[in-house]
Amino acid sequence: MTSRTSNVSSSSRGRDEPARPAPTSVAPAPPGKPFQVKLVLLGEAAVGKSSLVLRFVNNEYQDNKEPTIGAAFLTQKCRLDDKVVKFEIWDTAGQERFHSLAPMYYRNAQAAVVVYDVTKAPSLDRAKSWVKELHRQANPNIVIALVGNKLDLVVSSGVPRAVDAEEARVYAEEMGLLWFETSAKTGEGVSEVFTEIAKKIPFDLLTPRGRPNAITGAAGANGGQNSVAAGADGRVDLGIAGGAQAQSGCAC
Amino acid sequence: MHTPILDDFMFGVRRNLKPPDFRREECQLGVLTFSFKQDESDSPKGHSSSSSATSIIIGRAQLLKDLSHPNLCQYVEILKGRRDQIYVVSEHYDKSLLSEVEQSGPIVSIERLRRWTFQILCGLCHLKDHGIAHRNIGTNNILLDPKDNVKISNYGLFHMTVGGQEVNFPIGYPRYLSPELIVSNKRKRSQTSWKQDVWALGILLFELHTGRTFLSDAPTLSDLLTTIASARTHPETGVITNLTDIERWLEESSLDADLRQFAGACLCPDPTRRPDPQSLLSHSFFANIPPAPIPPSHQTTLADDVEIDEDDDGVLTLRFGRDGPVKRLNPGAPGKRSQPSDTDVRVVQPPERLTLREVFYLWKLSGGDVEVELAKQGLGWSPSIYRLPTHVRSESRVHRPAASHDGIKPDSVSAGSLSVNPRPAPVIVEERERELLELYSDRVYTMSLASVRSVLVEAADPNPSQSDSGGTKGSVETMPVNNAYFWFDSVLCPEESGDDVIPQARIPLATRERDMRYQYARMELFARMLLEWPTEKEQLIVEAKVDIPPIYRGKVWAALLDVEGDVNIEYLEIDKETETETDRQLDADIPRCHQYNELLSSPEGHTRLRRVLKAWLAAEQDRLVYWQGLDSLAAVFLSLNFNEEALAFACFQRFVGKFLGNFFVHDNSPVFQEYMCSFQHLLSFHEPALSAYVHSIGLHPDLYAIPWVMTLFAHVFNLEKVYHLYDKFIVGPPSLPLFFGVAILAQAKESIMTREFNECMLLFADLPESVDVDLCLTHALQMCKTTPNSLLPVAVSGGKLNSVDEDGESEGLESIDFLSRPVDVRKQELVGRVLFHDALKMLPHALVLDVRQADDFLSHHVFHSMNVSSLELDSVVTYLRLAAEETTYVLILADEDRSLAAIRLSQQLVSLEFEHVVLVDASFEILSTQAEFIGHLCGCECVSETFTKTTDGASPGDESTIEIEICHCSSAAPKF
Repeated sequence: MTSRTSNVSSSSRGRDEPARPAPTSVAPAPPGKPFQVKLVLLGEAAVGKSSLVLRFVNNEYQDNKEPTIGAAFLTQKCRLDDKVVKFEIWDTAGQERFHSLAPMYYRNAQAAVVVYDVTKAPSLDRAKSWVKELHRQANPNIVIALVGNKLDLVVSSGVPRAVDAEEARVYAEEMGLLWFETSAKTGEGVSEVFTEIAKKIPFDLLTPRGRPNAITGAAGANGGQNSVAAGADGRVDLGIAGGAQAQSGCAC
Repeated sequence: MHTPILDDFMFGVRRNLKPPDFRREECQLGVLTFSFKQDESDSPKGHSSSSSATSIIIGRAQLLKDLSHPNLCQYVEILKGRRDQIYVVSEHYDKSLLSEVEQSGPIVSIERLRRWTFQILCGLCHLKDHGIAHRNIGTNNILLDPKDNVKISNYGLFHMTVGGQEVNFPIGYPRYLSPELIVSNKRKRSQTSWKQDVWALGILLFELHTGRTFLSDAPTLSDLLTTIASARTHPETGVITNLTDIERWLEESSLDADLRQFAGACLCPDPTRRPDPQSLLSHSFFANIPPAPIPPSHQTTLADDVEIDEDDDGVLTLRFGRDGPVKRLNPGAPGKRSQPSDTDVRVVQPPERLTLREVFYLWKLSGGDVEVELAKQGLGWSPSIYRLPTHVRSESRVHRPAASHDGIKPDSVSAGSLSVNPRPAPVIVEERERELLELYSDRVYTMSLASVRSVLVEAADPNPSQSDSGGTKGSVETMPVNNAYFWFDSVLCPEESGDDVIPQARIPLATRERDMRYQYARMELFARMLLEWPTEKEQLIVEAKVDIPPIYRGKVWAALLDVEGDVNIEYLEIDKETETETDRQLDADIPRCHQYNELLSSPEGHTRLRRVLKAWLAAEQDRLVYWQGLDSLAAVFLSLNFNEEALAFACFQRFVGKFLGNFFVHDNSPVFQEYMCSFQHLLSFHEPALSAYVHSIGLHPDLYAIPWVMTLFAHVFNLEKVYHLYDKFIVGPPSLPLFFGVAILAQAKESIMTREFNECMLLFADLPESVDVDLCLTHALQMCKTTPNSLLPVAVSGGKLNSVDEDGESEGLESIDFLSRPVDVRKQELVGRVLFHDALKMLPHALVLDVRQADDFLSHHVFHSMNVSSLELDSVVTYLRLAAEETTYVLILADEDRSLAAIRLSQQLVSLEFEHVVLVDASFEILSTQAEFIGHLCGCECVSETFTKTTDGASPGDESTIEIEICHCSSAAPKF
């Protein structure tokens, strides 16, 4: 891995590194204002979305991580060349029934990580349908990464692989997606996912927002309202802020 | 017809379990302890960690705790200690068949042998009825109570370890092994079979009758095993051959003929020709014993207890009746405690009525700790020099030390030796063997109940000494009670009126739950109320609002949730097996559900949770479906009623019905939207500043409150917190969970209001640790009482929207006006609306702000209302604040033309931190058609007050002054 990016608060991410406090509070003051990137995780239940984020954000792994209800929110800063990127991560619930909530989270997202389980073939089908939905409904410039997780099961636990790596890679290439295989358990490949995403974000067209006034979040929330409460118009100043944010994301 | 649960399984708090005989010093708690080797390569069934084996064992052991039979030692608790050591606590007696033979030699009394044998068989049959084989029979495992009755002990080891598969030490004593077992493979050895127990019973009889240890002259273990395995069955008579000791014994002329025949049947080497325990019960050996003995002491009822209690002997009388506890204690009695005597028996009456499990619970509350207790007796931390091999094999001879330091009898050493191949073992096995020995020893550590008893007797003392006064007398203030809101349906709150506050409620719950004395009194009270349920339902609710004794929580919840009838039959009838589409999701979620809990993380727990969920889905058919999070909710009830799946299911089903019915429909988004909308309005109503702030940063409840409302916090908190939360939810109004959510935000108010959006979201992730459940509950209950029902979602507003006509109020007005306003429109409003009937009730307590045109206001207006047509609030805010202080609510009225102005005014007021602001849902035009409303109208001249406001100009010195006129009603309100 020849990436020039590194995690601001953990330059080395050894497997046994103990848990550390939330990086946002201990990170050395980054030069310049961070670019905020709203990223959403999608994928079938129990493919390891939350574990992937937990590995990326806290460098931890937890067996039997409890299911996510609704969505969870986490942030992590990364350095990419001279820029600091702050990922605002929305980790969504995997169960199909929660589907109707998803637009609230992927609307206005600049990046999406669509996860499947390399030992479960149907999970790739589900991932493909997420990709389709993102292409149809999300920000047209959204950077999508397709991630096959639970690689450790195949490598060291003898669980048969159910999703052929080549097949997934070819599909990703056709659809213009980044593609990775990872193990949230061992940490293999996890930081690369976020690094490569960061590299593909068209920052030139984004203005760094030094005053993170939650416009992204507000836009998400507002978007959610629009999606779930049809016909609602943006009220007070939030709708306008959300619109502006959406534009800056779309303009690139 | 519904049978009251009183008579069946459920409220047998005192009936299901056999009360221990506390009169006898001999009844003790025994602790058996073992662990298993943490050796990955050797771990059974390829478990990667020992903890999974622990959880398997603990999960399986739960069944044992519910076995109750006069000839079985009651299992009390199975605990996991440090380093995955397992402690099995059970009823225990010092006397055993072994000690009898050691003391008095051969048992010559045929009558005694007959009775023991019969009782052993009764116990074994009871075990068989529950699918359990003992497989560990030996003279040391058959205990005797003071009346010389058999108490079989240690019968659960084989079951809880899945036939020994989960541990690395063998189960069963070699000399009692049947021939077929010795020659079978490991897999077969772990299968449950009762024929082995029958063989062992035969050997046991041999040893009792002859007073000799069977095959004690075998030079090595392998010789012993080979000798047994060589036994053959006579093809015609079925009699044993080729096992000299046994043959000679059976041929002894002095042997009772019936015993000979009985023992011969047990000791038939061919398992297919050997009878099973049931058929042996009708053997001629027992011709004079009645076939079905009724277990004694299972009929104990509270009524009996009361009678006994009222048998006033002047020593101690305890009665917990409706009129409060009656306790009398003979001042001389405590001194006698140390000397057991007939008088002493009276002193120990209170614990006598408790089950062993309850006694053990109280013992723990009083500071008892099994590990500490055992350490005192030498377990665990002895220096390594004492842990030198107690059993050394050189070549093929076994040297057994006479007795090892920790009292392992030479005999028990053999327990560690079963895994050895009958042929001479290679040296390498010796090391392993020695290690295996450390994993398990037969030693039963005993804990005398005398100490527990003395504590309980002390607890029953109505005049506690000063030393423990801290436990029951606290300095915590009574929860504040506000009577100003008398007219809202302040149902179901224990602190309804200041006079009735129960003194205990002033002490923090955590203190109360740790106070053994207090818990003991609560247990007495709740046991009685449960027995008398449903007669005592009202009182049960009142007491449950104070607190629920944790040990009875499962039963109390069931009673409070109105679980009636035979839930077992209902549960049995539900199809829990057929595969459904949901299974895949269940399989993904269940292994991730509250896995820190030992029961829920065990395979047994997974199986049961799956069944409960599938039963629920089947019972709800297609009306309700599985949403992630439902597993967490079901787990709460299963963990409380682990052995009573049917009860867990019934409670879970009723609880969901009461609080979450509409959340699990196929498309729950309308319900969900309504809840989120209500949440926002409740927040604005009670915490205006916070509401305005979270609104301004876009922190909408949709983003954080989904798991709160969907799982009622079961997915948010750990089980201990959830139990306490549900203790109150169950006796509270259905809207309480919503208010609890508002209370959480209110508690974190300062943190939230100093944070940006992202940081707030991260704050919510840490909530489970930081929320003070008790404080939030208190706050939530207060808010409950002051909130008009109109602000609540229909499902939890107590059905008020549908039943207004009962009060003779107009229902047409509300249903048309309110329900026609779609939820997405309402959601855009920061401030909630109240329906007509709530508005009417609120009018006398409210500052009424009327935003209609001044002319309209002058023509007729609500008594004491104020016309605020201008939105230049800055200059009048102080005036309004003063006015609002006089009242409880701020009601905003508008006509159709000015409805937007009303919304804007409401938002401004919330931003200005005005509490309890609501909009009146109906327009003035509609209201004016209602007779009840017209009574509130006034047509006075009104008075005006003028305020000046200075506005900044474009440049300094360019200020201009605006005059603002506030017009308000000048009449005194009529008495309503």
